[in-house]
Amino acid sequence: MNKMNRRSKVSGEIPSSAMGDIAFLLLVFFLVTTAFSTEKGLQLQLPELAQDQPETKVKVKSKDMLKVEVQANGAILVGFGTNRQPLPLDMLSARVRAELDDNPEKLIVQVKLDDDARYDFMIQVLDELKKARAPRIHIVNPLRS
Amino acid sequence: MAFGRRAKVDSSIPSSAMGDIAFLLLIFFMVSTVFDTEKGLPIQEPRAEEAKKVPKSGVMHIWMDARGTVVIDDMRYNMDVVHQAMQLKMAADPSLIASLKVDKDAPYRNVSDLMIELRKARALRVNFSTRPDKR
Repeated sequence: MNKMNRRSKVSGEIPSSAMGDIAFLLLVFFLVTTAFSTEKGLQLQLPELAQDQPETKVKVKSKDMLKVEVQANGAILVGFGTNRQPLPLDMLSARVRAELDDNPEKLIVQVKLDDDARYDFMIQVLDELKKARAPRIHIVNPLRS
Repeated sequence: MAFGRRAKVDSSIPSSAMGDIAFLLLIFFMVSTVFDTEKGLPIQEPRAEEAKKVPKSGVMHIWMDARGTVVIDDMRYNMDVVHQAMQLKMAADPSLIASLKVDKDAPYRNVSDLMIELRKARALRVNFSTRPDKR
């Protein structure tokens, strides 16, 4: 037998019939593992902290400062000056909106929280203020020595 | 004759381009996938209705659990040195947004102290991260 006449029967092509299956497999993997980042939150601009120079004090009339006080158990007191009445959380945004209608230019909403109040209460109050579209929110943030 | 005619329309669905489509989608998902690289802390975030989307870039996360443990970039910090870590971050990117991932049961005392630390480092753009609403 003449060895020179023999031809190799191994195919020179790369088998590509399963490539689609592999692509689909990887596709399904990435489809399942992809979690589009959907971080959400309430944005707030903090005031500057004057450490070196004496703090510049701005006088605000008590009628321009709506005080919202959150107690440790989550109860809310709302009012101007020292005159504060309890208010349920779900009424807060309506109250703030009404005050904003009366005084849209100058009204500042000040939120004062008890040290032991849960962070959850702060977010709930902040959420209500955002609902009322309050433009000036101040969270009392005492500097401890 | 009209009855003798056979329809010449092919009844099979063309599937030769399916692999190409699969590859196209595959590349899309490969490029858009971002694996979480930060471990953070196991916390339960509060829920809020008015929460807005936070941009993907230019945000750094600060984690705090109910006991007051602060973690930034998977490193634990004591509360009184958080401003030093933040100052380094703010020097690199002054427009950075600090996203606070705080447990909903954390006392306001700790949140307030954390906010003071941020203000010391002039990191004034703050986001209070909330749980994504799944309705």
